[in-house]
Parts: sequence; C-alpha cells; structure tokens
Amino acid sequence: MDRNFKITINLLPHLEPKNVAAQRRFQKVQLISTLVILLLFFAVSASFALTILQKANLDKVNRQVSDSEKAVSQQQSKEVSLTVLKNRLVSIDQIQSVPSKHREIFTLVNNLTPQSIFANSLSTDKSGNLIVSFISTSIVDLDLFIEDLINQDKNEGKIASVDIDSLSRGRDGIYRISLKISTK
Amino acid sequence: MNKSAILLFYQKYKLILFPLAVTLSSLVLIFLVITPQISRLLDTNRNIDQLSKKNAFLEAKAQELAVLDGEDLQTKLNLALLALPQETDFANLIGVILNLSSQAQFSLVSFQTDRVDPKTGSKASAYGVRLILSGPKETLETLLSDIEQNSRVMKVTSVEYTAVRSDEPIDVQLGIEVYYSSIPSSLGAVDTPLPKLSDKDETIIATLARNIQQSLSVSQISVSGPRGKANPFE
Repeated sequence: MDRNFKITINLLPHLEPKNVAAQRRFQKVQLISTLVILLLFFAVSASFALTILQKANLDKVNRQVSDSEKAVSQQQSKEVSLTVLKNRLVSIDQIQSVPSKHREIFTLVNNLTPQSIFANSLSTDKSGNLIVSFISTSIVDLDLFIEDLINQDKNEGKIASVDIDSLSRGRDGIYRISLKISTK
Repeated sequence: MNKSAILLFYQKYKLILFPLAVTLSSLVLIFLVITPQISRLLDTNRNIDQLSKKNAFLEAKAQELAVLDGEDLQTKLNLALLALPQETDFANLIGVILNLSSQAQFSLVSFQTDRVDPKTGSKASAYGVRLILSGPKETLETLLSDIEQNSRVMKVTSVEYTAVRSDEPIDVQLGIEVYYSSIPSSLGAVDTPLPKLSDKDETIIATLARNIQQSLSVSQISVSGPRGKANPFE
C-alpha cells in the first residue's frame, strides 16, 4: 500500500447552497431592520430634544409678550385718551361733512334778496325747502329776484325749483308774493 | 406548544417573522410617538410665531405710546369733549346759546328740548332744541352761521319767523340739532391697534381750538373759578 495515501473525512454537516443564500438574505434583512429601528429611535430622540428646546423658546417668547403687555398697560391712560379722541373726531367729521340744508338755503335766499324786497315771513320744512313771503313796491325787482333764484349760476345749483304760491297787489300798491323754494 | 416548537417555527419562518416584527414596531413608533410629537412641534412652532408677531406688535405699540405727549393729548381730548360731550349737557348748551344770541344781538325768549331720532351712519346721538329768539332780522344769518360753526357740534334744522316791519325786531323760531356721543364701550384693549390721528383730524382739532378761543374772547367767560370773597363771613 502506498504510504502517502490519505483519507479525509468532513465531519461538518454538508450545507446546501440554498441554505447559505437564505442565511445571507436573513443577515441583510437583520441589517436593514436594525438600521430602520436605529433611525426611528434617532427620530424619536430628536423630536424630544426639539420639544425641550422649543419649550424653552416658548417660555422666552411668553416672557417677552408679558413684558410688552405690561409696557402697554402702563401707558393705558394715553391709549384710552387717544381712542376716545379719535372716536370723537370721526363723529365730528361725519356730522360736519353734511352741511345743513336749512341754513344753506336761508343764507342763499337772504344773499340774493335785494334791498327793495322784504321777506316778511319765512319757514323751512323738514326737507330743507323754504316757504317764504316777500313784499315789494317794485314788480320789476320781484321779477329779477325770481330770475336770480332760478338762475343756476346764482343759486349755486342748490335750488331745484321755485313755485309761486300766490302773487297779489294791495290797495297800498305793495306787491305780496309767496314762494316755495325747493332744494336739491 | 413548547419552546423548541416555537424556535423551530421561528427558524422556519424567520425571514418573514423578523421583518414583520420590525415593521410593526416601526409603525407603532411612527403612529404613536413620532407623528404626535411632530404635530405638537409644528403647533408649538406656530404658537411661537404668533406670539413673536404679537410681541413685535406690542413693542411697536408701546414705543408709539411712549412717543405721545400725554398733556397735548389730554388738551386735544378736552377740546373734542367740549365739542361733542358724552352726555346731553343742557347747562353748557344754554350758556353757548345765550352767548351766540347775544353776539348776534338776539335775546333768548324760550328754550325747549325735543327728541330726535338717531341718525343712521353716524355714531353720535342727537337731541333737538326749539328756540325762540328776538332780535334784528339783519343778523339772523350771522346767528345761524355762528351756531353751525360753534365749537359745540350743532346743526340748524328749521328756521321760522314773521316780520311786520324791517326796522322792528323779529321773533325767530329756530330748530337745532345738538350732538353728543357716549364713550365707546371697548376702550384700549392691549392687543387692539393704536388709532392714529390723520392730518384731517389735526385740522378738526385746530378748528375746534380756534372756535373755542374766539367764543371765549368774545364772551369773556371767566374760567378762573368761583367769584366773590374768599371768606364771606369776614
């Protein structure tokens, strides 16, 4: 017998190539799963850390707001004065922006009335229309006066119409005219 | 089922069971911890943003208030309250009417108050006053003009008179609307913006001041306090 003859016996169980592939796949799965779990734990830790930081930030901002509110409250009397003043001024402006028709029509007619004509009776109604009686010795002056009243340039566009309610001449030679002057 | 059977089952299905367990635990972490935590973070962040804006607004408001001259503001407010008081203030009104009528050479015959429906669109309230005044017809226009230009906010609502002769005084019936306004219910809440006085507002204040000055100089009303002896028993 040849002295160099050797017999080798493998005592380890024979692994099928399929099992080795499965083992490697499982190792890969383990690795990926571990990474996922680690990532998630990192995310959880980060979110808790951020919450703590945010809480500190929130407390700081709350303190600042509280200080600012205090600073504003200390000057509240000024704020109240300014609010009331502004409120008054807005109301005054609203009221004064609409002129009184009654005064306007009275002033206009008064300014257009010549010396020779005398308004012996005058009244305004709720709409600002004027009911007025004039007396004059001159019919020509009365005619000119009525023309002035209906002239858009002279009446400043404030008179819509002039109605003659009555016109008479007395025994004393005085003309009496009653007009209804409607405003626009 | 004993331990060896479980191990055997795990060994057989570990490729499915291990990833399944990891996925389930990941889902639990995501839905029960990470998502609520992120949502809370976002909410708090939004809250901080809002508070920062509020703080910036309040700081600006505090600075604006610090710049305002308190005395000047009070003077302006007094003028505005004189023009548009918070109550009907009949006593002061009678004084104003007497003053105006005497300036126009009229004398007050009758003073009667009347109710007026509140105007729509205006914040102010008003009451009516019916006056009978006796005086020269020539100065009636001045009287009406003075009433409307007076520092106290008033408007002429009716004019009525009958004159017999041009050289005789007339009795005029005047209707006047007198305005007042109650103090606004919400005053200076911390987070409300500060109202600003416009140029128009300053003009109104200047006009009020001028009118009050004029009426004081004409009427020479003493505002120095009570008259008479300091001690009446001396």
